Amino acid sequence: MRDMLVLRPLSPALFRAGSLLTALAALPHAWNLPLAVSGGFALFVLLRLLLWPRPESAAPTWLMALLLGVSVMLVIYQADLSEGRQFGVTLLVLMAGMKLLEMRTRRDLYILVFLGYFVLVTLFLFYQTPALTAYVLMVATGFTALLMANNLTGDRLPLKMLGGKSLRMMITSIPVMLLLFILFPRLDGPLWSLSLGSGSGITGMSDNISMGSISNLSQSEEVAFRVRFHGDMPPPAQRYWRGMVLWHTDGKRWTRGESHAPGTAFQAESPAVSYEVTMEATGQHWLFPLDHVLRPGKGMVMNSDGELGTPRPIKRRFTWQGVSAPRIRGTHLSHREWLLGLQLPDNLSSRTRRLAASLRGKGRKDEDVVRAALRYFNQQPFVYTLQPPILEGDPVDQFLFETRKGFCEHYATSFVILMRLADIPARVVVGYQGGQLNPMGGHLVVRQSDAHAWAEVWLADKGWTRIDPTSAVAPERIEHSIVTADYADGAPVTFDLGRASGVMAGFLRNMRWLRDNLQLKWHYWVVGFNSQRQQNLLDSLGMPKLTGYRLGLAASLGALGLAGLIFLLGMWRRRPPADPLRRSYRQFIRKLEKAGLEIPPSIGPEDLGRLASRAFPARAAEVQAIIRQYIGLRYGPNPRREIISAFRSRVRRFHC
Amino acid sequence: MPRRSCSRWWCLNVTRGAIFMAGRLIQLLRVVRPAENGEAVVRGRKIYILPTRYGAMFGVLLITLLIASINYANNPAFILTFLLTGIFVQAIFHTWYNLLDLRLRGRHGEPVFAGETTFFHVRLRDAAGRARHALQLGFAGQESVFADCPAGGGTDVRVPFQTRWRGRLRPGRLTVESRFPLGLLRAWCYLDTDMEAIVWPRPLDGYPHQADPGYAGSSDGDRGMGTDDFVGHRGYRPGDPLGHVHWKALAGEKGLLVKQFGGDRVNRLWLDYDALEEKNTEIRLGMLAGAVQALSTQPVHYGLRLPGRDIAPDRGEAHRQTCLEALALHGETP
Repeated sequence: MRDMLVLRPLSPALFRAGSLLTALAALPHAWNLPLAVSGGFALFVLLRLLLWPRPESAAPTWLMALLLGVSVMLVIYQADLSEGRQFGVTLLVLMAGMKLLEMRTRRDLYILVFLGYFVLVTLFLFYQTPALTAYVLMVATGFTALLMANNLTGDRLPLKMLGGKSLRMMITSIPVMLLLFILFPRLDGPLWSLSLGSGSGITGMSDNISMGSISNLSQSEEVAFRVRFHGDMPPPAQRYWRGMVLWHTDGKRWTRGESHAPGTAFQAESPAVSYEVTMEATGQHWLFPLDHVLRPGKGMVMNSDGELGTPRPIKRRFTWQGVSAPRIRGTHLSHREWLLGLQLPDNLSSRTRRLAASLRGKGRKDEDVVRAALRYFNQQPFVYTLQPPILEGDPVDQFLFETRKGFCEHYATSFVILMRLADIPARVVVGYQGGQLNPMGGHLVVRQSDAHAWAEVWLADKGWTRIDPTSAVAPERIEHSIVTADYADGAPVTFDLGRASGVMAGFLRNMRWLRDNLQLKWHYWVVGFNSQRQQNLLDSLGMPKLTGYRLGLAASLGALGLAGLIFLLGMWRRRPPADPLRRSYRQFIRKLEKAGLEIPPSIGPEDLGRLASRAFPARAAEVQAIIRQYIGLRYGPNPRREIISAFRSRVRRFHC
Repeated sequence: MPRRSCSRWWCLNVTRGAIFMAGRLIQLLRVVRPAENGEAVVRGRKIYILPTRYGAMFGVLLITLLIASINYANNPAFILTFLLTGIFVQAIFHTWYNLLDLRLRGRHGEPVFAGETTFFHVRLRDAAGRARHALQLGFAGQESVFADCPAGGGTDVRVPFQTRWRGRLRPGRLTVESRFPLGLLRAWCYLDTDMEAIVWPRPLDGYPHQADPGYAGSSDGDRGMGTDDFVGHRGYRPGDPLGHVHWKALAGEKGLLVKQFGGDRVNRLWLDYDALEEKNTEIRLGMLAGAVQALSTQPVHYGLRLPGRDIAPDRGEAHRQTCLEALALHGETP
């Protein structure tokens, strides 16, 4: 039979619901598509609602052809053709808008809903947050309800029925979804190479610093990464997250320099700590392991400076495993390192040189020189501030002798200059320091405001040794996180000492931790679920042999099996409860049989009564009463429920 | 040429075999048949289900989404793709469920003239407590109708059938199908019913007029009953029309009398099959049907004389239908 429904014109209710849902599906794309494309889509919707507000009259064909031409031009000129994602989404959104403009019958609504599902999936190419996922699932339920309404004979929308039914369909689809999600084989790489475009607005540590660059970063509360330790968490003073090692300076800027020797592994001198880091997208290669990293994990690279990175820039949230030890065995200082570690800018002031000479003193050991420099920072009136004055000319000289207000990079860089002037090889390390414990999730949250710079000096018997001159000025920095707030210029930094002020603040703090924990879990179990984690999960479920094609087979067979199970569950209908009267009568017969009465299989109630009365003369009256009542109930007019229950209790009480 | 004839023989046999197989296949078709009480229940095994065109499109959509999810290694996209897969599976079940345990009772169709559309009355009933939506009912090659059946209730559906020839119409298998809820799948079942409708011959002009012997007036004079001429009075018998009661006589205390009328002017006509010059049976029947239609609006008593069957002159709707039915079933082998 031909489907007669699809030829029907849309009812106004269906038309409006379809338009609304399509607009809702495309809405979040407004933030990542070019304005012209979003504008084009909005224009299509407006055109339809203003010019052809009724479903039976739609845009004429010539207009559709014209708009198609305009859309293609828009796609070609506006979308970044080098980026497949943007191109496809632009096309899709414009197509949905055009379908909206020309839809007339129920057949068109099918196409609109399919386009809508597609648009919803493409949203995940841009956002993968739990909130957006919830939004997408909500709109998808709406589309399903719309599809259902499209298959009703009536023109009105029974919203309650549609909503309930589609929600139930969604919820009952979850088992199949979960099974496929867990078992579907995950590839390690894409099917074909794609460029996702450079992430704009990603903040994070860069591989060169100048005085003032980290303090800018420090005002951002954004999460840099989260760490879960396998075992005990190291104390705050040891939580240095090593990033890049900066060797070269021109007096203002510090950079990494060139050509670094590859490194394989470092030897631990204290028990190793293993942990798992989930870091946010940075658009860069760098990883920030706990200082000091021992060896690179799979798919990572490390060099002799102890810098850890990935071959590709990190453009999405990324989880990796690390192994570190607080102390490592000293290595040999190469000639190249010795040269780099003593490199100095040309135009250092004589004041700076004199200060370095006085720190060096006569015949002092290198350790004592370091201690003297730290003492200098501690005893002179230096201030630790997020808003240091702007330094011009010779920044080292100005900072050391005039402003004396600075952030960690000021202390670290000027300390390294002083060390190099005193003939001690030294370098600057940037990364993060500290991190807050999320009491809900038990993991450490390191934010951009934890960005830090410190120094490393070469000591003959210890090797490269971490020295943090900031701790000499503001020891609290090492133990506590900075409170991000608007600081006045030059104002000292305040620290988060973990004291909740008031019930509300405590509640808010807990909510924040909860959200943070949710984000980590979401990333761990959903967004970052890859072949490795899939294998771990299968191992822990006791199915370690499920790999490759077996996994694919299991996914499809499992889904089919589960679908069959759902079928069986649906087919299994509860048998109507047996007639209570008959049940009681059977019970009565069983009681008689237990008492030793032999009852022929086909015996009527009256004969049974006579038989039982003869066998148990003592209970004859009771037997007769039961039989009489049974006959009355069985063959009489509609019995009342109370009488039946009286009969049942009489049978229950009966014994021979 | 023996070889050629051999291959022809072979061909013939293959064709015969194919026809035989097709016949067997049709026999294998699962068909819902009414129980003794006349009500048919659609059981699970009798339901066929296949994706519709939109179901196939949905499948293509799912594959596209899956490829995109794999390519971008995007897990939320996987979630939505798999959820939609689950919904498709659910849709199979729900579509099937929409037909399951539906109860149908076919009634007889309305008699119509050949070429007109008759409607077969089908009673849908739900006893499982589920509302059935958008059920489509139709006979093979015929228009179909939609019906909803409320939970625990019933509804009457008129299923159309475009008739062509006169006779006893057995419409064949009724197809009951459902695309609800999502339109991605079509579940259907075949229902064998003993429904039938009488299709009267298409009325034709050309039956000869009064001059012909078959269209003669009565020559029996004043006897008989009629409405035209007053004949006299007689005593009232229950059932006499009130308009015929002689009220004046009642007022004059002469008892309850009714006026009697004679029917001498009533045309008592015989429509005679054999009197027609036309030789084609169907055209003859059509002419007779046309005459019946024409006479049924006139104050005449008409009778029908068919080979092997006479219908005495009478008038009224029941008589008209009797005549037309006789024409419709003419030549039917019992």
